[in-house]
Amino acid sequence: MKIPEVDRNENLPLYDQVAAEIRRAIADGEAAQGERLPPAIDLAAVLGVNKNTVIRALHILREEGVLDFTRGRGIRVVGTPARSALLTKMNELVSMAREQGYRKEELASMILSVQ
Amino acid sequence: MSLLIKKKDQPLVEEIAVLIPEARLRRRRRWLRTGLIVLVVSAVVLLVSLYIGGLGNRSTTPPGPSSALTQSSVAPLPVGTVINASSVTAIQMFTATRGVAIATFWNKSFTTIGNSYLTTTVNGGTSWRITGVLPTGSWNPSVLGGEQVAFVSPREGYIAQPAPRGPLFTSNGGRTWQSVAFAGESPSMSLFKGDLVVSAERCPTGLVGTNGCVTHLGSFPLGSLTPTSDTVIPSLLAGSTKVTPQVVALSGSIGLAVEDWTLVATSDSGASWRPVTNPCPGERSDGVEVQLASDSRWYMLCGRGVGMMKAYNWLYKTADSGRTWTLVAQGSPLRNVGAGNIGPYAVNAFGVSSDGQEMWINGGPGFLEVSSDGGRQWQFAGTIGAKTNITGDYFVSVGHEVWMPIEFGGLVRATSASSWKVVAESSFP
Repeated sequence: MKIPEVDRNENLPLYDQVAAEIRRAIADGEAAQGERLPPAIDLAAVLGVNKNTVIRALHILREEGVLDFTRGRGIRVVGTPARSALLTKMNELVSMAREQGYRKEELASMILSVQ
Repeated sequence: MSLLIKKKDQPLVEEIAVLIPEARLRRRRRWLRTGLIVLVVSAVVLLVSLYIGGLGNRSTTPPGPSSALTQSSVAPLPVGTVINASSVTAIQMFTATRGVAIATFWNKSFTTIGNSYLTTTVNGGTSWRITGVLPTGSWNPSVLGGEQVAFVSPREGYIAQPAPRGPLFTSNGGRTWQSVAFAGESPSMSLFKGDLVVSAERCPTGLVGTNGCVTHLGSFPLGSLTPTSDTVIPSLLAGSTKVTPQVVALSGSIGLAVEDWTLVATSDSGASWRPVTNPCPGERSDGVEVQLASDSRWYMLCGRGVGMMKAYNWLYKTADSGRTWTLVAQGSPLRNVGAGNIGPYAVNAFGVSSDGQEMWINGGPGFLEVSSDGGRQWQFAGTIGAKTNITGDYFVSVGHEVWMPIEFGGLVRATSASSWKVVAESSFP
């Protein structure tokens, strides 16, 4: 068993590395859909990072639809890694479309026209 | 035969990274650690509260060297408890604000004594803080008068207690007590340069005033549990076998005793005695109240009659240790009738300031008479509290500050020469 670690020399921000580790953990089945994640303080202790870094990573994953924050019920896994991967790709697609001068509505109609 | 080629330093099984199970494990460990800390802290708090609350084996209860010094069945109040003056039964003041007192609590039926405590005050007697517990039954304020507390500091001193027990000594504010080997009835104590002088009457039958009684006077260096001297006050009456000399005043090494109609005095803690002229008119002088303002200036109230009908009509003073007496005031048995009247039926307490100018009498049904001119003129200063027949046994004065403990508990204090206030009354009915 290996304890995952973040690489402080890597160019990727720490919170992105943490988000990636949590994403991988969910994909590996360490927490199933509907299960609660351990508190951020414990995740931070395992990863060797600050608690706030973990919280920022958890917010990213909530934006991706992987996690759900509910007051009094903790942080639950609501999305699948596949959905998370798809959302990541869609974000990249939206960014690329914006760079090429396409708006979201035009991109959506283009996706709808794809057979 | 198959060949397996294994690269050097390559693990046979790839290690699986785990994040969430490891974090969950850490959470469990954190909770266990927190729970363990809470458990240990709770146990410590419980043990401390049991120790302070008196349920455990507390060191604040006095063990006492004698097996006769038993503890009360009622758990005593813990050391440090602050109480009001309603339970104060005997006091000694060091200054206008600081002093020590015995506080006694009665049981619900007011028939026997509950627990008694040594207490100290720093606010002139308004409130008292318990510093130690007395062995149960060692203190009975209903049978004792003044001069029952003799302390050189709030921590070190003696208390008197009825026969057959002798005085008790403490050097730690009453946390522990030691028995002093000097038993007898009607004990009276005085401190002289830190040494204790104590008188007590010993009777073969156990009853004071019966045949064969003798009065002893003992002297103890501070802290000593055995007397360095134990003398018998000699009878000056030829053929007298019934009445032993009664100590009526004790201050330092000076003592004054009365035997029937004869006064005897000592100035060396009882080592020697000499007869003293008795100025009081009448047939008997057992109704005398004496206050020693200094070694040589004494004041004597003379009574005539029996019990409550006894009238203290004469006040004398001496400046030469009783060799010559001067009549200061003579009055009617009725109180407060005309100048010079000094008292009615009975005098329960008689006090004189150290300069001899202020005097106080508590007598009759709780009234107070005061004088500010050395006893020549007296005025009625009121009664003590709302209850009738409230009396005290003695006055305590430091400079112009005066207190009087009330019988069965409570305290009154002078606010001026002619004004008194009740600090607290006893709850005793």
